[in-house]
Amino acid sequence: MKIILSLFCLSCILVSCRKYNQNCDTSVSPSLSCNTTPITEGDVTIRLSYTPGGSGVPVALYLGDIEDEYIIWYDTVYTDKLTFSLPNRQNYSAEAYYQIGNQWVIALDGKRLKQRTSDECGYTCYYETNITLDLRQK
Amino acid sequence: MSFLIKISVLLLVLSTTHYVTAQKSSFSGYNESVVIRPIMSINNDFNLQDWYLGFSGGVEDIGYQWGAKLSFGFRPFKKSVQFQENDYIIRQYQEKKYFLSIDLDKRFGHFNLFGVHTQFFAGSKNGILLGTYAGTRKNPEPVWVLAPTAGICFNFDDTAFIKLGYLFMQDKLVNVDNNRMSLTFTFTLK
Repeated sequence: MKIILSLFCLSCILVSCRKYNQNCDTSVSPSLSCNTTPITEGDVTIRLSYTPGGSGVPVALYLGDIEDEYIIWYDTVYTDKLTFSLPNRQNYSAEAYYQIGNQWVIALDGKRLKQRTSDECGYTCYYETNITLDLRQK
Repeated sequence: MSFLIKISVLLLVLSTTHYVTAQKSSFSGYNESVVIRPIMSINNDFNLQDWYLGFSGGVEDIGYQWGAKLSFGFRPFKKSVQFQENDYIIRQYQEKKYFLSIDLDKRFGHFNLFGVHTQFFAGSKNGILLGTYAGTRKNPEPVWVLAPTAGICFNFDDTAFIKLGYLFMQDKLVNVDNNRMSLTFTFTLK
């Protein structure tokens, strides 16, 4: 058991050291895989339960939590997937309304669209980020 | 009805205690002195609809074969849950859930199963279920839980234990069954 714990601690130390041990040559540009142009938008995908030929699903997309009541888009949709390109570093939430007989199922989901970056020898590399809001009816 | 089945299983487990303690001759040295060891464990409580992964720290009395530990469990994914708000509206949320608990259990009986020192155990997980919903500042109601558990324990020289059992946990979710399996890996630290 002590050996396992020691190996675990050692691996943690090695991983933390690796970050500071890159072979940096600051006189050259960062690698091709490093995109230094800031990416300020990402895809927000909404997944829905929709049967082709069925009645449409009213959907509302909010900036922030639903309590903020900041609706940025709403419509009745006839598809099971919607995608929006929206600014990152924001929280988004969405609601879908399904009618079953005389009942409504209101499905809600929300996530933060992050801006993902890494540091490569002093250069900031930007990566695309996407989120999926799952409003499929269970 | 299902409650009666669970009670029957527990009674069956307890009624077999005499039989297994009769086999104890090759497992001597127990129930003579208190031998407390610190332990760590990895817990899995699951059924077909849900899963809690957890980590615990606590103590195990090797002598009298009981254990007590403080556990933190979490559902390693978001789960869609539904609640009836009124006659006309059902709310569906994406829920994250955490389970803080104090776990107590007692091992008893000794027998060989596939050449492994095996015991029965019975106990309970006592704690609170907390959680968050995605997309809203509303959170699920905290749920106090007292979850009985029982099963078999593979005992590896009193230094490691694998416990496989049944757990009855009422989490008040409509679309999650209260009956769960429990799989715990426990290691003594010295």
